[in-house]
Amino acid sequence: MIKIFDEEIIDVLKEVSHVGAGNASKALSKMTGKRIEVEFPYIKFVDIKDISEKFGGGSTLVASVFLDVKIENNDSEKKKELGKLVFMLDYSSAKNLSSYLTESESSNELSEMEKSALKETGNIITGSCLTAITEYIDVRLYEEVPNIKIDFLGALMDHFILPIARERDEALVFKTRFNFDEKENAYFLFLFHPESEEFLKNRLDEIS
Amino acid sequence: MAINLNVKMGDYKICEGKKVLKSLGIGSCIAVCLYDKDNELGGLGHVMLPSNMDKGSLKYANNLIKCMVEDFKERKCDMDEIVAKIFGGASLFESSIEIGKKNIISVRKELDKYGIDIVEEDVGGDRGRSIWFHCWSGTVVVSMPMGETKRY
Repeated sequence: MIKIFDEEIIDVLKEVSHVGAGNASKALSKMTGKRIEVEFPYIKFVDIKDISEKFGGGSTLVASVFLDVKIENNDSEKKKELGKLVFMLDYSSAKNLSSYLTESESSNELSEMEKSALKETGNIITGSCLTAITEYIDVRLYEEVPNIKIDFLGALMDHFILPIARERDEALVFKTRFNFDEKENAYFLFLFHPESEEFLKNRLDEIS
Repeated sequence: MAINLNVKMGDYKICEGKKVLKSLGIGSCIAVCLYDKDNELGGLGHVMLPSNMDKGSLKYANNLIKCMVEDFKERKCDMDEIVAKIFGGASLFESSIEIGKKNIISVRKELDKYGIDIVEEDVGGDRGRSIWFHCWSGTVVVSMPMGETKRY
């Protein structure tokens, strides 16, 4: 297990992520007209095998909007993977938020319009977080088109985590929780790709 | 009331009697259930990745299934009596990596290597599964994201 991030770098990432989460909560409050609290971000290496448990258990039904983020690489045509941005809500919270956004009556399944409203919300949140990263480390980032999926949390985590599981036993996870209307909650996660760790470390060393 | 035990990815458990082994929210991973009817013994392995020749880690199909088989043998089980049921290997999204599909191929190949027949399976597709394996009867309950449940 290679762990190239020391405490100092984790602290810097914490700071960046806090700014990102703050931006995201402002954007989300503005969009929904609701008071939204953002918990202090949590950033640490998590054992891949425990990741579903950390987020409420593998069989929790969730709606998830996520996208790949890549870094422009000056040396070659190929872009480096930075990681995956994931916005995840409990299914019931997703229902409530989307029917609020689309002003529609709540039915059991999410309509296409509700899905696209959630996608847009996810987009705003991930966008605000990326802005914070870009401003801090001064790199050009590329966002891929967001995807939305409703499934078990564990099944989605398989999709996010298994591609890096060959190389790593742990994943660097940044998580923050949004609380709105007291009972709804949503998570925002950033899973760093192993390919980006060294790049980030060098970049942060240059800055500090 | 049966005791429920969770099996994390890259791990396996073998139990006898009134116990339920479960793996919740399986996507491209595969739950390999091995059942010995004579001894009412059940084993659940949670495969993460296709077979890999280089490492001894239980992340990989070949290493995990090998360990399970050896564990059954140590318990003096007759390997000819053991049957398998496999679940998972979904591809939630179209992807060039296709871990789910490769996992299915690896698991089938490994079980075949030890002469273990697959008597039931529910693999592939684009949705996750949660599974509960009743060690005393060999029954597996599979639940899908929007509520439907099947028994194998």
